[in-house]
Amino acid sequence: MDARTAQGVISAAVLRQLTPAIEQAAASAAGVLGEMAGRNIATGGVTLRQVALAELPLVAGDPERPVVAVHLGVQGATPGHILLALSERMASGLVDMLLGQPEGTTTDLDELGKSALAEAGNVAGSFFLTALAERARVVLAPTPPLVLYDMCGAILDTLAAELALLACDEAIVIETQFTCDGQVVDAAFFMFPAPALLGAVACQEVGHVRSAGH
Amino acid sequence: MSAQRATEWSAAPGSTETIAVGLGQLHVARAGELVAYSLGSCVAICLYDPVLRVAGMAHVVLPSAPASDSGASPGKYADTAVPALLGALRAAGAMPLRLRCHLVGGAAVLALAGGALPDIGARNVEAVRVALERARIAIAGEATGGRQGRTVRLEAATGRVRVRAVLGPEVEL
Repeated sequence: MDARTAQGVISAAVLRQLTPAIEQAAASAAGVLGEMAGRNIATGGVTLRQVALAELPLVAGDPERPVVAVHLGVQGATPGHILLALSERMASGLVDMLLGQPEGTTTDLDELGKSALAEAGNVAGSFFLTALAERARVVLAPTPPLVLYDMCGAILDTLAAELALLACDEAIVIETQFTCDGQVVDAAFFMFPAPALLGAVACQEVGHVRSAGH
Repeated sequence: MSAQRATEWSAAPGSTETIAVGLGQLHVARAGELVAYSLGSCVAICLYDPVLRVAGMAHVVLPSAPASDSGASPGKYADTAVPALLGALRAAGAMPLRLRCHLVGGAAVLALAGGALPDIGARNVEAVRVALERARIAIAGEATGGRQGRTVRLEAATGRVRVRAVLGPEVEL
């Protein structure tokens, strides 16, 4: 895990401590996505790291790579962002699964396809958020989903600016890869939480461990 | 990091090096190409002295520096990026009167109907315009606003500015 500590945002030890809670939230999101798609969707690994805002557009690889993404803003005491990013091929494949169509039916994303993706991103993101909010004992609400087709880096560049508005110099990046029926798929789920959210989760985790110890 | 160290310099003339100008950075180059990849709401300020053949680019993230800003990254804010980039170009021998200016970026990538999020892109573009006007730099061309991200390349030898959106053709400004 690449968990650099800078600007006093959150320590590497806290990041490590958070991993089980994040994994559980990601598993919850993958599970509901699988139910919607009628397939066995699971997480293929969760990473939690802290990166300089200037490096944020590069966290998903080639910044010019075109992606279909579903964005959810996080409203509440600890604002943040959730992004489900898929290659065009994977997005079309997911639409076919969600709509119960034979694979290869969707070639261009029409309004129905975008709506299906928005709903999938919304439900998966909301499950993830709810799992974390319950751990942190805070109330968090997602904004309506927005389906985007753009350079991956342009979406991340914009999120970096949104985070810079909150006076952040670094971003915490939660990244989850997915598997579908055991195969790694070209889809990634990102959350860029406010450090305060993870701090709250960490506090509850410490309390949980202490309670269990007594 | 001091303000001076935030200004990066390219390789020697004749180089074909591509220099990525990341968020909040500014670079001056006498050779090769300056590139700001996949700008979303951020704005790239491209300045070029055609006589000296020196190019400068800043990757602006937000409209204005907060009062608490340390000044470590002058390229990050529109109001500090313009004077810092001009200073770096002057130091390289460029004359402000000769500078050609192009702006790229400032898209509303996450714009929602109803505007749940502030349109940082539009505010960035406006703040850069104000800062350029204050510095008496005219804008020769631009590709700003809209809903999609862009990559911009500024060639130091020729001053050519090329812009590309997702899967679109590269166009010269």
